[in-house]
Amino acid sequence: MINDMSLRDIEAEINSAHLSDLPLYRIFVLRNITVEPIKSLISFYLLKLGFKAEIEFGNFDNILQDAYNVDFDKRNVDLVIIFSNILSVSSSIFGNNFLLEGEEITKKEIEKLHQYYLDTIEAIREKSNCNILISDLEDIISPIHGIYDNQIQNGQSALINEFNREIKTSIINQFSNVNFVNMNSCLTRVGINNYLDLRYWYRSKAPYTASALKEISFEISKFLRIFNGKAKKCIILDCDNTLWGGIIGEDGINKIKLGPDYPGSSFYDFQKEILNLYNRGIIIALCSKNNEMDVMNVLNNHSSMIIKSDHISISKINWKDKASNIREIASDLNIGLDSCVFVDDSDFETNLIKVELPEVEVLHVPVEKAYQNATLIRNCGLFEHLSISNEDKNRTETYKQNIQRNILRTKTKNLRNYYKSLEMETQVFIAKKIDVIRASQMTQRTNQFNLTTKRYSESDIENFLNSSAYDVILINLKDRFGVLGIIGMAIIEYKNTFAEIDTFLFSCRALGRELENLFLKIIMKRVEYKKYDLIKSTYISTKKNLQVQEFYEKNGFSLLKSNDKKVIKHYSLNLSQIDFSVPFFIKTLDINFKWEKNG
Amino acid sequence: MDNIKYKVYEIISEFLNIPVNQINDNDSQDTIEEWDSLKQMNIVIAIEEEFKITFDDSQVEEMLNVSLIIYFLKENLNKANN
Repeated sequence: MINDMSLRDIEAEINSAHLSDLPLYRIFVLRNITVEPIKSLISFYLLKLGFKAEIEFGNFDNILQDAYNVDFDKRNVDLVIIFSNILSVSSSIFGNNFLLEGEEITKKEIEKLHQYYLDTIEAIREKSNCNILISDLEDIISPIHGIYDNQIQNGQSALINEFNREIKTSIINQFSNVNFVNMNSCLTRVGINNYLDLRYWYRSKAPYTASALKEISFEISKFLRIFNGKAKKCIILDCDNTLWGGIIGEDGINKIKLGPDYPGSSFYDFQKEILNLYNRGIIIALCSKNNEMDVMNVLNNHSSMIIKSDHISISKINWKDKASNIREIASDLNIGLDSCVFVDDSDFETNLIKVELPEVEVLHVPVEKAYQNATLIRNCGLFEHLSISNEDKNRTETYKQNIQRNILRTKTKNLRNYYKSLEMETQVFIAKKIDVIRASQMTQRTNQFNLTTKRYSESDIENFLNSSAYDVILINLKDRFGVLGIIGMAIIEYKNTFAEIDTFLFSCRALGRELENLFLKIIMKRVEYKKYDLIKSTYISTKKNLQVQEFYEKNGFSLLKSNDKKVIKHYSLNLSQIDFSVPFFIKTLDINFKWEKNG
Repeated sequence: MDNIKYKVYEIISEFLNIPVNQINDNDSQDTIEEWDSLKQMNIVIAIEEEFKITFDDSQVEEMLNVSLIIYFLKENLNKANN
């Protein structure tokens, strides 16, 4: 478990691992938060399971769009993980508007969110039957109504729990191979004070602390183990100070500690957990340095033994070394060593097995901490299962049949309706003095959606503002979830016979809504208004802006020339027929400068 | 190199996956290609974990190169000791 390892050690282990011979496991992450730090942690678990992880992150807050656009099948994606976090889903339900909006509106918001989830799963399923993991919404920590929230039926906390339940029901009824990560379990185990890192939430929408990330990736690893058929099959138990307190050979059957009362109660509960495993089909084996008769005596005659002879498939009770014994157990059962878990209180024995039999998972249960043993078995994540009923099996079959759909039309229709539901209000305006700092910052910090990556200082921007040969144009955005602020910027240079787009950049948190295309159109209209027929632009490639290498082509620009390696591309566009209308999915568009040719 | 400084170098080396001897005090997101804002976050959190401290938001804002990272780390450790 990585909870005991530092982030640095985990990173070091990934870096030094020999990955090239390992089979690949591909994960695609859809998300509305920054959660990239989890990549190394999940990779670590996959490494332990014998895989080289390939983990890619979709665009920020583009869960539905990516579900439509990413070709999961062609990319051989094994698993899609959807991180949808309560902090990002802030709206009338979960945010500050909860006090003001009535129940009607809240219910409508929840329905929209519900549909959003269903549309996302459907979009993925149209292309792939890969596993999907969805994060539950975390419970609200500080409800707006305070203690009153817990007294009423439809408080925020109740609504979230209801949402989590209902979306689960909807999805299970319609789709197969979709599972849910219990984020509230993770939160509870870590504790709220250790779960959210508000510094990085405000800085870059990264909500989780290192502790939270470790717990969440541990939880996800339980699924990964099952998806790859690596759930453990057999638990091999030491006896003295593991199944009971004390040493049978020295204390005798009457003095070992085992029973419903203290001091035997920890061992009693530990045995209950072993019995749970037995009832779930896990093989129970004993491996103990003892006289066989002594152990059998306890098994058959001690009144508080929950584990009895009937539960034990195989025992190696002798004075041989435990490595040999465990090898024999695996061989006798005809299972791999990597299917076995060894539990012992002894430092010596556990270290021995870790060295001699590295494929065996070792759980060290020191007797001073025997009170933790039952919980350890419950939470170890090694024996998890996701049972499949016959009903589910049939649903899988149905999914494998070809369902003819006009995927493109469905996709466009649903996406644009989704944009409309965002109720986007945008303003496009010429930068003023007050915008200089932000504009300069954007040129410094935007790396991905940046066509030319030119960095400008505040005085550079001021010079552009003061010059009639330049326009610095900004776009801001507000939607029903809140204000996103200034999300894009363009610098136009007006030359003799043509205008040139010196800078065109967009904030990654506002991508996936077709706004960048709209912004470009408005720029073109502005240039047309300034009585230019010809607009030129450039793409300069960097390691970080590959996503925009075809941006101008997609928007109708002609490629004039590019050097051999497409590092710099020059474009032009004749402005004679710019056809522009405000897209139906924009709620309001406000342009504060002259841009209509005949206006 | 003092112990604290070396540990910081090691952590940066690990998260950027470059050898320790290729890092110097002036390095930052501007000088090392792999070093972006996400890696910066990873590095800061790993340092907090290693030294069992928590940086203020204002310190995080200013930790713009290797020597500044070390500076604020030491500032934080001194506070803890006083």
